[in-house]
Amino acid sequence: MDESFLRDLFECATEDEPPMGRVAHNSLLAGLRLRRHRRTQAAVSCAAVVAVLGAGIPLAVGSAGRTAGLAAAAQPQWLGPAVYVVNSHPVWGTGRNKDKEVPATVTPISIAPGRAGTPITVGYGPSNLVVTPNRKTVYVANYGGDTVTPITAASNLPGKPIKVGRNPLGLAITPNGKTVYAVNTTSGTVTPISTATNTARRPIKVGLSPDEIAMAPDGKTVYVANGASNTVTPISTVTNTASAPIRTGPGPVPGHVDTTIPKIFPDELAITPNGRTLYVTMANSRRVLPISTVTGQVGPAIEVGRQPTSLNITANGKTLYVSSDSKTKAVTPVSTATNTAGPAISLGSGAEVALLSQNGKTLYVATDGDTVVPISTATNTPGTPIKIGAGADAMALSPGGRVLYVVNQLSDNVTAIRTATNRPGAPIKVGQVPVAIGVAG
Amino acid sequence: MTTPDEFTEFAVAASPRLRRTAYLLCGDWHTAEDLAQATLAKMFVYWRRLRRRDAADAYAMRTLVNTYLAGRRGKQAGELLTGELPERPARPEQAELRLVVLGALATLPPSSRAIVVLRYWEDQSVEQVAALLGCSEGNVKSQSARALRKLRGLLGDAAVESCSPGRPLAGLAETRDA
Repeated sequence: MDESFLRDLFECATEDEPPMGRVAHNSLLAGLRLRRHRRTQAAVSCAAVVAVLGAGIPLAVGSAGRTAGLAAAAQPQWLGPAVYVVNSHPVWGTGRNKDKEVPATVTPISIAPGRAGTPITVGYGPSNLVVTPNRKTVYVANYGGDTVTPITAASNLPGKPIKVGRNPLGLAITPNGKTVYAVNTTSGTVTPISTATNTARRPIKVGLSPDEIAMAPDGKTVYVANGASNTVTPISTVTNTASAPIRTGPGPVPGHVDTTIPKIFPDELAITPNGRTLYVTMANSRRVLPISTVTGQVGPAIEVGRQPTSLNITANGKTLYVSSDSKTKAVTPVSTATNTAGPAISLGSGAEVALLSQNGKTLYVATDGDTVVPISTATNTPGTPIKIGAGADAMALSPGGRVLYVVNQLSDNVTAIRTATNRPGAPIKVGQVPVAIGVAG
Repeated sequence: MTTPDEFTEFAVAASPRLRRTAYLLCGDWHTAEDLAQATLAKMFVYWRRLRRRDAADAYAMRTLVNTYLAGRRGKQAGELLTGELPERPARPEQAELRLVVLGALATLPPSSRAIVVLRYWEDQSVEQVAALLGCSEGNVKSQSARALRKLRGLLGDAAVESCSPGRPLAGLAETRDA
């Protein structure tokens, strides 16, 4: 039998297998970086959204869902704002491209009624987006393509991709809208992009495996969490230089180049509205660390639920809500005045991502039970769960705060929920594996 | 609902196999490890879509082969085979056999190499390979027949000299085309 003989030969040839590196561990973390980011990015992009404009008026009918074409995309399909959904899945090519991964897309959805427009082609493996404060441009990080694609919201046309470092993921923008910061996870750098010219400036060296990024409310400092270094690096947006990193736990052995992320590492970031405290979740732990942005001192750890996944701070800055995963199935309110945790609010399902309503009265928590649980921030009690699609991954609010959009990663659609009634609409179909969402236009 | 813990379990279980298959595809352990890791990282992103474990294995193999083929696209067969590949000493006759086998595999175009490895190492059927590579079953059959003919010519004698005794060496010579 030729099959078994060849197999024997192959067996002989692979017998001298060297000891295996931490393949499984490293790939888990590489994948985790992508996954984790989806959860927080909605909060990041929505922070810039101001309460203006009501419903958009849908224009073209029938263009939705057709294949992307420049001619179609050149015409705005409706007036007013749109929700932009990043479809991460590298589409398998067909015909001559059948063994290639082709660039993925971003789907625009009109605000009311929610209708998907022509997909906009971006780069390889897009993972995240950020919207300029004037809501005119959407910047999409292409994790696989090492680029950032700007999209003009008025025309839904993509601009020339901007080359950044290896595997961009975290994105932040200054409140004046002049600079976008892209975190290059593999290069260990942050690339500032001038939005006036859409050109990349010199990358700023930070720690190993940086990922999350948070902008201070005054826009003068941006903070980057370095997973493998176990540090947080502040960057001055004025000079684009990094300050001394703030240690959040034991890092790699000095002098030893190791990009393996420690088991417990800095994960997500949130800054109080007064800009004085930076909160950092520690992945694979029950801890959140408060860091004084004035002194750089790390305060005593706050015990919350297991595996904190999402941070939300109320507009008055008094309460920090920490969501926890499927093991704890709860949200923990933390007083920012005392940095002490209150009684956990039980959800019944694990929290995936959370977002505060525009009036701050409700914290919407998307769970792995395919529901959104509205929590009253006045009483810290959960309301009736709202049914959504499978695999909730990111959320965003319409500019007026009247519609909450939830990205259902597993069912490839978006659920629009009226915040006045907490009633979900019919799911809106988008591209494959949607991971990020933002509002522009 | 799958969790990172379940993924870790899957990754730990799947990575030796992925790495060995990747090694036969690319011919060096470092690249093989990179390929296996890239495959698993991609897998994790879509992990929650994969509720069935058998689907996960098939998806991993497909991702691995596509990652390999994507990397080979537009490149010459630029592999360098050296005598000092492994990190630890091997039995000399084994090292020789490995070079011969990998050398023979390296003469195949990337897609044929993938077909041979999938069919005769991964024990996949013609239908499975065709589905995985997105080509016709006829294409898989003709490519594997051509590849086997070539391998037979290259491996016939060398394998006889190098391989440990007791293996059915005549098997290759009697190969029937698939």
